[in-house]
Amino acid sequence: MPSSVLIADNSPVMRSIVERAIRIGNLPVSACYLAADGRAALRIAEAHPIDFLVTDIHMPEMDGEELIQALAARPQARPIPFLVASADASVGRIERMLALGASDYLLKPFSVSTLCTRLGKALEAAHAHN
Amino acid sequence: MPTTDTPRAIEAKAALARLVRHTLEVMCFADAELLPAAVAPANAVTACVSFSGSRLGYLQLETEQEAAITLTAACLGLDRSDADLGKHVDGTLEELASVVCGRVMTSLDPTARFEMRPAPALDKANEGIQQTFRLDFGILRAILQLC
Repeated sequence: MPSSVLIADNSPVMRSIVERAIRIGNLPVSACYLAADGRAALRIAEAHPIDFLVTDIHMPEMDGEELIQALAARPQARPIPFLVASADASVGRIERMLALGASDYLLKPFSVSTLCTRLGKALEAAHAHN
Repeated sequence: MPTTDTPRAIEAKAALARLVRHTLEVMCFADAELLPAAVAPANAVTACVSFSGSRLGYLQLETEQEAAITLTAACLGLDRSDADLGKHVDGTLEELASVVCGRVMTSLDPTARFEMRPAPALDKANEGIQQTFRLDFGILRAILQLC
């Protein structure tokens, strides 16, 4: 079943790369929503049914970790499965994001084909879980 | 500003070389040959990222206009003649700089906590740790300034 995916990254180039990976991989995605920071992503998640989130960490306004915490704190909202795509390879950050429920932590730089494979698996797992 | 021959600076210089090459190879399919001496690209397109937290400083990438266009096309999977390519050049170089910066920071200190944000081009680009690379289509210089 196709999913609606929210892509949160302050880089328009990276948002475009994620969209391209979805297209090239023919991943089961019905709609892509784009956000340039965590706060914008939170607004979109409140206005639209989001099945999966791809988020960067270092973003202005609200970073990826704060975004996940804010999403989790929403009363009565179902949890949104998410994948982190970031250049932040610090041990603490990776551990915290996995503890917050990240289905995967993809370190930048990555190729479009790697993103395709990992995102495809994450979407499949999220769909199976639901 | 640390001198360039301390163990810390030598480690940073090696990390900068390794992670610029890795990033260009993975994101842009570009081979980057490390040059023995710093060279400033002519008429450069520049992207600078500042970082703060465990360490403070700047990371800047500079490359020639034509090289920046080729890197952008490769990164986005667009044809080099694509009319929209020009509007993505600055953003692509900025993303490459952010990726290199994040990876260098955590390579030097795996427990680092840091923030990154776009910054204006460095006033004194000839200071700090520098690595220059020859690409198939131009020169790229990376500058790391640790405060």
